[in-house]
Amino acid sequence: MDNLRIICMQASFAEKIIMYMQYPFVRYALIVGTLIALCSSLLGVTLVLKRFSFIGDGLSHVAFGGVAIASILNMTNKMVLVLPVTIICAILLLRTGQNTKIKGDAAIAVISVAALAFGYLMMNVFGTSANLTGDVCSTLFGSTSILTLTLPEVWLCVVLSLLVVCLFILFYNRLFAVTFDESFARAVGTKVEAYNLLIAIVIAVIIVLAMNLVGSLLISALIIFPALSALRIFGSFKKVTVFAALLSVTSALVGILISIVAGTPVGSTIVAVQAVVFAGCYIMGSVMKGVLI
Amino acid sequence: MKSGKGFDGETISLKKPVRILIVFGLVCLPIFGCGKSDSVKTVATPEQIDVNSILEGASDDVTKTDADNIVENSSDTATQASIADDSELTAVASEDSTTQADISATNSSENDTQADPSVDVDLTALSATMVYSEVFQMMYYPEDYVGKTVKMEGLYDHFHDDSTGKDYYACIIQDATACCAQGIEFQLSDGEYPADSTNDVAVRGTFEIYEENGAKYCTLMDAELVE
Repeated sequence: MDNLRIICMQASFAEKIIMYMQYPFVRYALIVGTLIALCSSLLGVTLVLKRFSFIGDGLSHVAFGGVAIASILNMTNKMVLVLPVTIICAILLLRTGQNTKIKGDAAIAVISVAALAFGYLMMNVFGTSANLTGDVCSTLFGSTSILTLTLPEVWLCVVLSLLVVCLFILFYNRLFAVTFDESFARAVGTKVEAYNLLIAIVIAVIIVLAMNLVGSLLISALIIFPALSALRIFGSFKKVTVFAALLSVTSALVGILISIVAGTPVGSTIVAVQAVVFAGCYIMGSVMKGVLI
Repeated sequence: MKSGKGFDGETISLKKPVRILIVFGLVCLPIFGCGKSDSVKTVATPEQIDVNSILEGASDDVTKTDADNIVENSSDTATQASIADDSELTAVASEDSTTQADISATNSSENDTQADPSVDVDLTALSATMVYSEVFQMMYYPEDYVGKTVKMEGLYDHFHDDSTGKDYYACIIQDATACCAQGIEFQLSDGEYPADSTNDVAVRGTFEIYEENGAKYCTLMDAELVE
């Protein structure tokens, strides 16, 4: 009897999914969410290994500040402002963090909280939105942002995501070298500064895209969790990258589907799924006592 | 080929032709893999497709009429019983009427969330996240929904505009976190609106756009309250 009830529940869940898949915005959300998760995981491995895990959090707060300014200016397409501002801050943080008086983590903290505070302050003082709290909440937590993308935004996300993936594949060797051994890369003639700049720009693009999926506050999860989960099980850079990408994409798909069926916030559901996956990988890694391969 | 050592000492290389092929494939994906362009703004009319027919690979042959019949039949426990082994379930059904009642109770609660086939857009059959998203689409692309019957339920709101002297009645829905809300105005055909103390309302009407004071507004015309 319990088996029959489970079968009926599974059939009901499948029926709902099939029904929801007929909505264009659901298909858009799944496509864009998958691509964003893929991009985040690819760069996440590099960032985690370079000890820049919180760069995502910092840049997302900067992006929030950009969104605040764009909202005040009543810009239809906020990306026009948010993307350049985030890219500039990413370049400043990643390229100058080693040689400035304020080192990497402190620089991230300074820019991050200042952008968040000024953004929220300006939205309160100069904002014209009828629902300020809702706009802020939606930007911070991304409850339904991924499901309310317009067609131009979908195309922009798809193109940028594919560009990021293409860049990662084309420059895989060099990115790997810059990640693990900058001195060696510099010694063999690799333009380390250029590739660090490329990484900074790509990170900024991913952050801005990921805000649509999980919101500003939860972006770090998209970057950190898949990489850490994969590192618990695999030791090879390539295997970690591939496994992280698989985990991230699967978690995003499962999270989006659960959220639309159960009526939960999309961003939080995706991060919750990733947290569960991380816990599972952590336990698996501990049980297997280290790296498999 | 330049290469570096990984953190476990292995030499990493990814052959250039393979990388170029992968990149080429990714570039071709948005060009050839995006489906029908004419379905971009298709307004979804949820068609109930029985899981049994999907399992039998017959979902492509199910028309909307058949879907209506299947919706009706899905409340029949015998249809639900066909999901599992027929012989086994027949024995169970004949032996335990209480079990049948449980299945019926489960199905009836599930049927409450199934789309109403008499309307084009049934928001009552969707989750909170989907409702908010669908209403967003209706606000953003209202021309795609003009003339379609819409059924929705949500918070009831009454607003009197002193500048126009008119009363406006709306059904408000919220997203999953209840921090964002939006709604649609409705105009009852009988003009008998609920009291302001009413919290929730379920309404069915025809989606229309009208202009007032230079701005466009959406409304459900010829609406009626539903239970």
